Amino acid sequence: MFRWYTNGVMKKGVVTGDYPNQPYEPYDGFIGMPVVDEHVCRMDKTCVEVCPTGAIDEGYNTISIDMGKCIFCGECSRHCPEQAIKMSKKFELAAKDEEDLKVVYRIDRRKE
Amino acid sequence: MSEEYLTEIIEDLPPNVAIGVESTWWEGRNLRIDVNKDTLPEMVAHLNRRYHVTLISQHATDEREFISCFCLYTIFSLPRKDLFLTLATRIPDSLPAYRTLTSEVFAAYWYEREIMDMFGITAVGHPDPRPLVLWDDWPLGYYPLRKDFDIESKVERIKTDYPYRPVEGEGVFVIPVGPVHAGVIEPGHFRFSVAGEPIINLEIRMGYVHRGVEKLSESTPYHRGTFLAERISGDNGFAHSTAYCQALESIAEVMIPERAESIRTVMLEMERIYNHIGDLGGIALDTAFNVGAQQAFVLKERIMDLNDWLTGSRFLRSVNELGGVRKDINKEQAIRIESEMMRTKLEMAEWVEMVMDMPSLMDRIETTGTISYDIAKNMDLVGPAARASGVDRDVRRDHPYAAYKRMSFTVPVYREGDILARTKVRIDEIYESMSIIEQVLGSLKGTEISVKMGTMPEKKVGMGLVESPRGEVMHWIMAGQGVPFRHKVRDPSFSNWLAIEFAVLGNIVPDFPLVNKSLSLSYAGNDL
Repeated sequence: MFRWYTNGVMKKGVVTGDYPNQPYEPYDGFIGMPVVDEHVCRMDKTCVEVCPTGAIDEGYNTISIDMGKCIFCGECSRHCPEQAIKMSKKFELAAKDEEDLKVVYRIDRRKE
Repeated sequence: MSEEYLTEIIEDLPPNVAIGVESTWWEGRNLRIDVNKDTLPEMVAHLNRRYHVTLISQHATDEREFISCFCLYTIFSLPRKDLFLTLATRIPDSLPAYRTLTSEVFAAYWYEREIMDMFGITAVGHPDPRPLVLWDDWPLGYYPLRKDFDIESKVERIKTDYPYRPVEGEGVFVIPVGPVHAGVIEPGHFRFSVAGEPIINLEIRMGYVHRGVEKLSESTPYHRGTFLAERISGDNGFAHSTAYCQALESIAEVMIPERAESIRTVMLEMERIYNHIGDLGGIALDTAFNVGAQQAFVLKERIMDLNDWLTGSRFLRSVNELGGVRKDINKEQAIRIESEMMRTKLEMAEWVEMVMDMPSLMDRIETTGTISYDIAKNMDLVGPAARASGVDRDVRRDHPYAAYKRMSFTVPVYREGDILARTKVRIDEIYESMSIIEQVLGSLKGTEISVKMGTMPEKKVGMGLVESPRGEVMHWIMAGQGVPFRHKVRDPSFSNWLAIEFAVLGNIVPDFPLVNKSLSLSYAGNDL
């Protein structure tokens, strides 16, 4: 039994991190919450079409993403011609209400 | 080779079976014989006796709009040959019934019950015609996979009780467990009948996480199907999506680039490693040996963290796509994978040595939960569970796909069939997987990782067979207009679940979690 101790804590030390006391920084390729850049988006509806779960919705000058439906596949950011939608590193997405899971971006249409 | 072999099979048929053959057809490694439904059981019996075939899947399709009848497909793998044999049988709509195959091939037991549930095609003479996947209160006459059943429709439930097998006798107690379990695991119902300590009968009831994946897939465009396939059984997600892609790639007759094949192989082996280490830790945990378990989980976490760093997903999601992969492995990544593998291999060896020295653990797993070779062969078990009982079968070697045809590796086989044997199979496979990863990374060639998919002609059939950590995953797709006409998924757990009813007999109830863990069964994959 002593071998388990020497091989465990004594040799390897503590392997767990101190999250949530210390923030956790995901890797660069991490597929987290999709984020829209309001200044770049031209509202060409590509993301709405490619989203497999229908999580993205476009209004007259808004784009809303329902994080309750998003499966983090990355299709929207892959197909956006303007690279306006990106998979960010944000992963703490819990909400108390279903409505709070919807993220709405107001797009500036004047640039057209 | 295929044509001669098909001719050989046909010429070898006894006269009473040969009259039932309507037509034959072959393409690549797929042989197909159209059999009259009246001679199907004799045909299957002959094939089983003569060639010792392995049942891969049995499923139906609703082709009433084209040929005004159902079609029953029984797919076998021919041993020691990279060939598949499909028996296609037409079942008329007016009399949706055929004679059961279960009496000839026991492995057909659950498939036939599933077909009865989903298509209303009766297997006459089936020893157990109770529902398998449909809910207890599902009304009679509604068959979800028939084309005239609308996916949006809601049926009225009728409250009924499921007829469990009665086990009676003096001093026999029944312990019902589940479907809701302590801890965050999936739902399944287990009924133990015990006489004193030993279990004399176990009946399992599944289907609580049936999500209608096959029906859903019939309205999911091909390019989105990978996301659906990845989510059939979370920890075998990459194997599922690979099988899905392979099925469609064979329909479109697309050869994916060599580099994509290699990357798929690396990912498949990474998936196998983290699953196997997790299972080893689980076995240690179920013997109440927590220290050993946690140290295994540390190793598992390292591999999952590597997955995360490599692909952005701990479960390797969103890597596969039709015609190749999305994520490349560059030089720097290859070096890190290799060094992590080396480190994990050393620590793994240390862990294994220490665990095999623990009397408290070895006491629990030796001679516990034994599955004999006969049971494993008759039920056509798959994966580590089969290889621990002496069945020498591994899709990677027998029906090579991706980069496996270029790799050299051995398939560990043990004969004892107990938990220890299943543990040893997993340990050996982890080392083999690490060696495969090294070989693949050392021979990465080319730059292209994806090709454009070709057209998928309607009604063409494709099959993808992949060795997942649990065993072989099969995706069988009949193409439709932009969506699959029929998509059959056969998860390894579907083949293996029933074995637990045999494995626990004579063991004590506290050993059940251990037997369950050692078989590593997925509820979600089974229920679909």
